[in-house]
Amino acid sequence: MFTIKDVKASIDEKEILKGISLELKPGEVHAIMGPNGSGKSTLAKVIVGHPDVEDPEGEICIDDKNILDLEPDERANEGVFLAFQYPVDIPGVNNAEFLRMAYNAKQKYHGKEEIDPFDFNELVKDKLKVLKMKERFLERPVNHGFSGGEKKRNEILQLLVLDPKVVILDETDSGLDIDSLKQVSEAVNYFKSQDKIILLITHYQRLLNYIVPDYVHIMNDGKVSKTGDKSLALTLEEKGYEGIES
Amino acid sequence: MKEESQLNPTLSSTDKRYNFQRRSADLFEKEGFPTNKHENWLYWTPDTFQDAFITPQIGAETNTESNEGIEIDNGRIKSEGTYKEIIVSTDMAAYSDVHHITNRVETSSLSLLPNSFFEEFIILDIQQDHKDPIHVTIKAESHEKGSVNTRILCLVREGVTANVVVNHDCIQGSDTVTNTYFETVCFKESHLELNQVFKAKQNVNVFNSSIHMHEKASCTHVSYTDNAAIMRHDTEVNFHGEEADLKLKGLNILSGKEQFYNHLKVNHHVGNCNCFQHFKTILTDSSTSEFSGLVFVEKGAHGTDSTQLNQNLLFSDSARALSRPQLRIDADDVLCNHGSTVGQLNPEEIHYIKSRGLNEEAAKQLLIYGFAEEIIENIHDTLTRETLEKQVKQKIECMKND
Repeated sequence: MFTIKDVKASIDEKEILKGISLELKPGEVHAIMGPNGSGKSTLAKVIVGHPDVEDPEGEICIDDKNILDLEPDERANEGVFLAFQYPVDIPGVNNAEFLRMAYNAKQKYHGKEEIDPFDFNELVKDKLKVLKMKERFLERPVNHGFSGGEKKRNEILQLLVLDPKVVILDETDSGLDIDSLKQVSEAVNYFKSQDKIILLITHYQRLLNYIVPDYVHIMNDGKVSKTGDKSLALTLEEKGYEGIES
Repeated sequence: MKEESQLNPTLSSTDKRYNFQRRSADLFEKEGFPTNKHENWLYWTPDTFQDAFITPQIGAETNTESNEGIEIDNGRIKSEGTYKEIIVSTDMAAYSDVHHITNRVETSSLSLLPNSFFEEFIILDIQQDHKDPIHVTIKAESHEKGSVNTRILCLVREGVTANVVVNHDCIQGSDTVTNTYFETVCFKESHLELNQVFKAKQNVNVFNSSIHMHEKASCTHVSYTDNAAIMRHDTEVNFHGEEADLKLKGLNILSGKEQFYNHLKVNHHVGNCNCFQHFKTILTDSSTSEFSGLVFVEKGAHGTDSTQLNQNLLFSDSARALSRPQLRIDADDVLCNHGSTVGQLNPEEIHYIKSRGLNEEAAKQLLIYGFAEEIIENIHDTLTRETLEKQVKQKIECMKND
């Protein structure tokens, strides 16, 4: 269970989130939609502990553990994963090495044995197959020189390797062509079938054709203004935000 | 304009050597020590070491064990190694056909001193392909007041492919300086990978490098500097033939009060050559670095592609990075860029890594290592690269403990 209870947060002394509450159960996909500036990406930042967020209030719990006071790395090791809208380049750091370090950080956090490079290689190969990615992808520096689509697929590769409990996809569909969108969606649906919790942040209905949400939440002015099933996204596509709020 | 030697083919080696050294000494006498009135000597001048620079250590013995490969100790050949593809010589007369033996690099009059004082004019003549690394160790060990002067000419003959790894080890007393002149000539269609690692325990180390690129030659030069109180590098590149390609990469990690001054002049005398220069420095504590680079594209050197980039990562309010990349272009139809960055680690990058489960310290170390690795990864020989990667990792871990 992943619960967000009355979360408020500011960035640059401006209150962006004004009391958000959501409850997500294992195996559920929740989509968050909303106009620009409604607070969607800030919500993602609050969940992962981005340093821009000032004095967040409320509670964010994985099962019964409140993670709001934890460092970003501790939150990640508790099972939160954000697929970034704009993943950062890390020149000079090999993708495979970075993935293994992240994997081992989680193992260590949970008191488990670290994995050696050989066994890790086998683990990653299986995940690459899911995304139909080539092995040479692992030898490149993290996101450096990647196309927009490659960066998004690399985020999903990290997701599959790190196997978190809660996944936030922040506008993962932006910059993806149709084929890449299908591949990424297949990987996310594979992940969903493992009883994981998925929170999609998106502007467009098209992603929801491939990753079908159980719930759609509309955000407006830092709050959830409407919640419905997948048909709400279709209505939104037809009427726009102004039409749906009236 | 550079000064070239006037070697007379009829002279004996001793005469040639005398003429060359005399000419270098005369030029130095005329020009004198650099002062901070010179544009290339604004931040450090050798004032307090002048006596040491003009007092050559003659015949000083080193106290180190021999390694494999070519070994040069205090300016003299100690071991020629066992490379059958290389002629190791000190006979200048045999090399009258090499027209680019220079007395100095343009940015430093100090470069005239090793050409005045060398005990042996050491020639490494690579005549056949040698893809495995050729190891050269240049040791300078002295505890007496004075200078250790080393003069090396490295020739990569036409069509030859070679990989040379040079380790500079300096162990000095407080009044000792090292002054090395390393000249490289890449003949037509030769391919050279040259990696130079500088390690100095103390004091002042001056390294002068002159690189000559002939038609369709290619060279990747990677340098790494570690642990020197004061290190001054002056590099001059001359493109003599078209379609030559040179990559110059450098990494320096400075701590304490270490100072590194890096001066570079790239002369595109002819067109259609590529030169990519990328120098990075990581600074902690009260360390200082200076990068001053000038790319000069002469009139008529059309089709030149030259890029100069200097990046500095600072981890202390007391550390100082000075950067002056410059271009002078007198030709049309060229592609030249220059740039520099001075800054700290990007908080967004730290956050990204933390969001994958690594703690703040690990995230920072990974980013610093990534910054350094962009230079080291240009070393193609696996053993050399991995050895250096290990050294850099250890150095970065030490930064954590400071």
